[in-house]
Amino acid sequence: MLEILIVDDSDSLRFILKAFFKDIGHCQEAVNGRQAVQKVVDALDRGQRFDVILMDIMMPEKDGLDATKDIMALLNERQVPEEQRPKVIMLTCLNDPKNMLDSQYLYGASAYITKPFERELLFETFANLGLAPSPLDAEAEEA
Amino acid sequence: MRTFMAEYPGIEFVNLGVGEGLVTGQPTAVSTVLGSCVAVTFHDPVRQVGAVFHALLPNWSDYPKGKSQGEFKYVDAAIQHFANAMYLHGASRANLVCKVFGGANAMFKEQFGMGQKNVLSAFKTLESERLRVAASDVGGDRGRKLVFITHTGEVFVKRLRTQQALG
Repeated sequence: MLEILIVDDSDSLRFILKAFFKDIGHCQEAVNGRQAVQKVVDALDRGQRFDVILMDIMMPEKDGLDATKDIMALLNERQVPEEQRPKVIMLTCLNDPKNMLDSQYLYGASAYITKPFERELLFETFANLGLAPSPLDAEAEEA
Repeated sequence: MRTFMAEYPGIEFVNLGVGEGLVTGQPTAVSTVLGSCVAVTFHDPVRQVGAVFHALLPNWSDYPKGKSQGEFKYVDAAIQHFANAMYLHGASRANLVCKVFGGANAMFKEQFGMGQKNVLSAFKTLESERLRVAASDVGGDRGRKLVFITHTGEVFVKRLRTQQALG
């Protein structure tokens, strides 16, 4: 089962995402970026980790970009090996070039999905980040 | 284990090289390998038409000597070409689902920043064409193998161990 952190200030979206993932993971929730960073700190302090973080951008107190930056800095500070770091997927209604580019080149997100989205796109992204089976697993890696 | 043959019986397989692209209404699994290059996929779920290209450089206008060569080498020109090709195949702008992949940081000094420039060109050109980017998986320091299923719009990506001398 995946350890999933859902970060979004929308109660209804967190509820829907939890329902999506009920068969594949255990979900924790945060309503803003500050809570998300604290959840990651708490997990690291307990010797636990998240496999994936679904991160909104526009949230009160701390936005998703700053939270992602803080989480990456924390993982560096704690010297968490690459393969044990959570994949951050931005899940946001913002679809402008700057946010899409900066999230992935500056802040350390692994993928970016724009709301509204289909459930299948989430699972496709999970497969592409090695969090779920993919048809490409059957093929020999070429490099 | 999931396999393409089991999930899409009878599907045709096509491999895409640098500067190539296609649009089709036939179920096709299009694969390509990306380094700092960019692939953009287009899919209309209503018409079940898909298009994809593999471009090397960000903007056609930056390379005046290259204008006689294939426009699919350039991200901006390829987006304009394939958006129009999708419309000619019956797709509508409102239904189009676009995804952007690639743009890894290049290993070679002379290519520094090219991946990010390619991706920025893709995002800006799609915005100017009023096409929404549903998803992107870009950047990082590893190449990607990509398979696009043209009739469903699914895109499967596997990160490679090293970028090597990829497109």
